Amino acid sequence: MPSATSYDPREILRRVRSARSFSERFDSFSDIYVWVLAAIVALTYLASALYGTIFVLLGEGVPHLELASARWSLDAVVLFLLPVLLLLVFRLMLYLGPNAVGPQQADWWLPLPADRRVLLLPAWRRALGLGAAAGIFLGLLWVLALFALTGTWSPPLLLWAVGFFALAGLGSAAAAGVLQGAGRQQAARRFCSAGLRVLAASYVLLWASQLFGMGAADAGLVAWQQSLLEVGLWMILCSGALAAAVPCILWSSRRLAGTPGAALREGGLRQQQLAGAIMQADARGVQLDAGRRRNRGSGRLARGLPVALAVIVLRCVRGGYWKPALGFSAAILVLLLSVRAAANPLALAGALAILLVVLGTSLAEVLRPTATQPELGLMIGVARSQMERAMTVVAVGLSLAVLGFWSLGLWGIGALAEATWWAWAAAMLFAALGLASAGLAHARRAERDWEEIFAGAANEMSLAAVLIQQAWTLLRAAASGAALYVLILAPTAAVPWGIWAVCLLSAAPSLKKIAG
Amino acid sequence: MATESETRTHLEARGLVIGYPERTICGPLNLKIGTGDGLGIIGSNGSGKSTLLATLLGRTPAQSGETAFRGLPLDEDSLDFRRNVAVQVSDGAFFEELSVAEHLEMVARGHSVPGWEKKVQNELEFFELTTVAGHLPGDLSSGQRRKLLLAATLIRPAELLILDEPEQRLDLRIRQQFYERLAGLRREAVSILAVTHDPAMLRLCLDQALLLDGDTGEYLESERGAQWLER
Repeated sequence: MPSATSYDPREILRRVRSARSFSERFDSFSDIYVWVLAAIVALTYLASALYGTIFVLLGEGVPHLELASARWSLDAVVLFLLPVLLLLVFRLMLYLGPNAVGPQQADWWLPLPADRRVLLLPAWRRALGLGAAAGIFLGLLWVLALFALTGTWSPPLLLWAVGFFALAGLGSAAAAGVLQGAGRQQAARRFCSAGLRVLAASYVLLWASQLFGMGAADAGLVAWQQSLLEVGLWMILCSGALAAAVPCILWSSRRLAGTPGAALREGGLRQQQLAGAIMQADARGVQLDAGRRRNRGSGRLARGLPVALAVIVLRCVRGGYWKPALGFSAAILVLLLSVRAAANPLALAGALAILLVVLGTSLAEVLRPTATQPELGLMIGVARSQMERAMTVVAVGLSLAVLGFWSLGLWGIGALAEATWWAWAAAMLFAALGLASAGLAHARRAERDWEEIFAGAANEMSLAAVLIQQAWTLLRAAASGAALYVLILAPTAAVPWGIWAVCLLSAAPSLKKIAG
Repeated sequence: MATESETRTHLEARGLVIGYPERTICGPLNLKIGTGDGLGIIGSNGSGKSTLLATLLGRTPAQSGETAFRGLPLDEDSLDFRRNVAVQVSDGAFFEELSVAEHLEMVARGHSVPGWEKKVQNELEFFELTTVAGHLPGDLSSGQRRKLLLAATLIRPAELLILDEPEQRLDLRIRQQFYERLAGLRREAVSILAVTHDPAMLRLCLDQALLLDGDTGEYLESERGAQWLER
């Protein structure tokens, strides 16, 4: 049996690249530089956002609702985030491949009778690097949150903790590589999802045990929390992560050559889509799994609706676009119910602003095909104005459903004043109308060249102006809830007419479309 | 043409049902390609021709049935398959920084083709790509890109060629030359499995057609297959 050839097709690429001019080589270097810079900038902004969130959830200096159920401190939530983050890194690695080849490499290199190990080693190294980078990125954010909450700061602790996350990321990437080689990614992803559900259930169970006065859970959490601030624990965790990562790395290195071409190809496609989504700050390129697109019974839901409405409703249901906003609302309500002082007006208003942005982007995803391709309407014999009305109606309906769920939750914890229920209802309707127009505008945004956009900004002021301009549709989504913010911050106060005017302005495009 | 004693089955599918998790497209299908055989896959749009190829190659899982290459379960990643089966590269996947000639060099050297420089030159001449040999894929017309893909399929040694509508975007003269070359390869015992919409391809270089039209496939003589395409 003839063996694989030792030919390395990368040699021809190296030859071509070495013949490049200095400026072309610099371009290639600057691509890597841009990614590293983007990660640092993202980390800085996310850390600021994190500190803001912690400040708001602590509710210091703000009168908060005294909920009998709110027994936990925010530190306990951060403890839960540790295993959640580790599972998320592993799940991300499983989703991304992690061993991957680009479409060109898949088509031109994989059919060569060359030694696959030689071809795939760079992909494997990149996968491990990706795992370590993801681990460090999320780990840094987690450690910063821990430091912010405990008011402690210790460089050795930071180093050991980040080291642990880096090793966990490396191990996750290697383990995901082994599973990819064995074609077990789907099963492992299901396992991760089950793990996340178990963690959520544990959170609720521990919370319930506290509510019923079982001190053991509380004591356990406090002990766990205190030990997290000791370097010794992180040294043990690091050793454990190292001990788990090394065999995974060795195993994945041995299994590398046996990774199926189809899995490598799929990994390449996913990594390309993710990179595109990050570069564009837009998830339109990321494809949903085919299996998620069809839900049994969704056809029945749309039966009887006019065709334009049915098309959009089916996309919304089959694509699961309602899930992020409802999931976020549910998670926030659990947080408000369980964490001391979290149910304060500042936190509620902040959460509402995020909810409106999440809902706005989901609406944009639902409406994108019909909003950007008028020929789709023509194909089903629906006039442009009818299609616009259908898009607005679906968007308003979905927004009202989510905001209704949110309102029920707030009413349940006593955050809303019954005397101003009519104002709340009107504000909700305005918010839904405003969200529909913001979502439609977001869906119609053209793809952008960020390099050109940032190059055009001469100083920080103009950069801020550029960013506001780029995020305008999302700001509109957040602004559509202007009256809701007022009613959350001062439940019994009358909403000023100026605020109603802002609401009316943001709702006007949708009203116009519905009126035809 | 191969003699009786030299004949062996390269590719075989038994009871193959093709489709996607929620939808069956076609099947069960039985298929056998031996040394020097030429089989065309024909059918209307959406009848499952390209899905059949993807399933045979293991890129799309079969709903049921078995596929084998030389008697063993088909594995596109096996060394034996990579050495002996040339699969036409899909459209659009090129290395942006490699020229036309460098793409061909990569394939020829990867398959240890002796005298690869001369072979590259021959393919460039055959597909009339000599004048654009140093051009990057982005500078080529869609027809020239298609020629490059076909040249890359033919430059390497193979016992079985798998082609997906190779006639697309080729002008009639090149098509004719390409078919004559395929017929010549078959005389040298190379087998061909091709999805096609071109009756001329069936007449000139294939023996049989597998018509996918409905739930199962029907085998037709190449002339009848060509007539079905012309109907």
